[in-house]
Amino acid sequence: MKACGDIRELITLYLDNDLNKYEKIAVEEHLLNCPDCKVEFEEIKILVKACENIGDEEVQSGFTQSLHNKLVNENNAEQNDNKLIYKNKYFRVITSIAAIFLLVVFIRGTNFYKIHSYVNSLMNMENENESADNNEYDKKSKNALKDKEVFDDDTTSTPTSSEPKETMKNEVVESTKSPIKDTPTLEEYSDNEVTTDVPKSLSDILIQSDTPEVEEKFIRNLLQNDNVKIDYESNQNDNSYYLVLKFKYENRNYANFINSVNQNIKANMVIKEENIDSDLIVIESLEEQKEYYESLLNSENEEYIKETIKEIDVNISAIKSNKYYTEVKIELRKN
Amino acid sequence: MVENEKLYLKRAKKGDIEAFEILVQSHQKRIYNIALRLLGNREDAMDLAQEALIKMYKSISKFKEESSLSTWIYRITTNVCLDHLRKYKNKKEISIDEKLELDEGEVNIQIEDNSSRPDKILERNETKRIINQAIVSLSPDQRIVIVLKDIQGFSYEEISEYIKVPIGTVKSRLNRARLSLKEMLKKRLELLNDRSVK
Repeated sequence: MKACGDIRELITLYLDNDLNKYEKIAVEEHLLNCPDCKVEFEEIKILVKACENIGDEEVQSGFTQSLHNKLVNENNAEQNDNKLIYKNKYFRVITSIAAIFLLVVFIRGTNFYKIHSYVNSLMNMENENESADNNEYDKKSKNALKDKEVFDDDTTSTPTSSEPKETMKNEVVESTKSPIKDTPTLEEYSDNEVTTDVPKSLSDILIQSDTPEVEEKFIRNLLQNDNVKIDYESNQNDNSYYLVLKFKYENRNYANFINSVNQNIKANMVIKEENIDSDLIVIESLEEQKEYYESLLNSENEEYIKETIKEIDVNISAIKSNKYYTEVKIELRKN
Repeated sequence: MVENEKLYLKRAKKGDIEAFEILVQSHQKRIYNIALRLLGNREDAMDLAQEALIKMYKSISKFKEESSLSTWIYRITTNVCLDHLRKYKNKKEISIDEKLELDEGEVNIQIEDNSSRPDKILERNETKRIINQAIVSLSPDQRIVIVLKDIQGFSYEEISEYIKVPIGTVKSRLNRARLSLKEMLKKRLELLNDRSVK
């Protein structure tokens, strides 16, 4: 016969019909012979039944209408904001998506050229996608057209190639040079000596995104205030590399932000979009993409990269949040 | 219906409010009730249910359809509720004759009627009130599993997806939650006195 402690662990599962038949029999036998456990069992059973009996209440009248009004307001607010931002001259200053910065940091942290090359070509690839998407996007968004041209002026150095994504992925290891001018290249960041060349201002940060739409929204929202402040904290010792990037953005575009981060560093980490509502927004890193990385590697460095990939953690969390904006902290840790 | 859902989803993703409302209509009551049982009062529950729905509206364009719509809906609902609970930690201790506001009017709880059978007792409004109030005294982590499993009837698997913890953790949390709840209720409800054992 099992001990009372063991049986009590199983009572809940027994009531939920989640035991196999042997466990069930064990519980039943025990209850026949143990009055104390029997009492416990009956009490929990009644409790569960009582909870089931609570039932649902009807939604209060006015709920649907009040929700509808809020949704309409939400919609209008967003549209108004969009208009405002289009007039914002800072829209012309094309800045970065923090995700790419993250990527850069990641590369610096890893000290690994294969990944580094891979990332470069990933970026090339994104540029191409961007160029290809721009035309279509302009058609879709009359409002955006004017600003979009300005935007294009600033990015004329991006190459245009129509090679499909798949091909690019296969060639990644060969590619080594970033095509983006007037911004720090990945090489500049890839030295393992770190921390001194952390970008000092927005314009120092690379410009990238996955689609024009996301980029536009993100930049708009980065530049919502004339002076978006990005704070860095970083330090490194023998065993860890650690960086915190803090900035604020407007809540309503948060999903876009997550999406853009997701798109841009998808090679390095997986972001669970669904977590956007909790305090700790993202906790998922390289683990899932490890296999993909490993498949890119040649044998001589395999062990090293496996180790490296295993050791890096990425956290994104909202550290402050109010009605208007959320302050985000991005943390990279190499243990 | 599935086809319709796709259509509405497509429209909702473009910001169509009505399409969004149609999509979430059948879930509203449950969203509200999850919030109600977690928070213990209607006003907050209504606010929070709406907050969750607005959040859904704002992020539906990013819903990747890797999970079902309902999973996505309840995941956001539980996230919003848990966030709220963690922010406004509910430290309220409830004494046996505290005034409760969960149902119409205020009622002074007094335990009487010593002779009722347990199943009758379960149906009494006072019993429900006492249980609701006891649930609100649980920790947020325990509260959410009790509400989702025992009141709303979601499966372990569903709960595991909504609150993003492994199924094993859901089970052990539920076990602990039921035990705490039982201890709490034992002190204030004849329901769980020795009489209840047949």
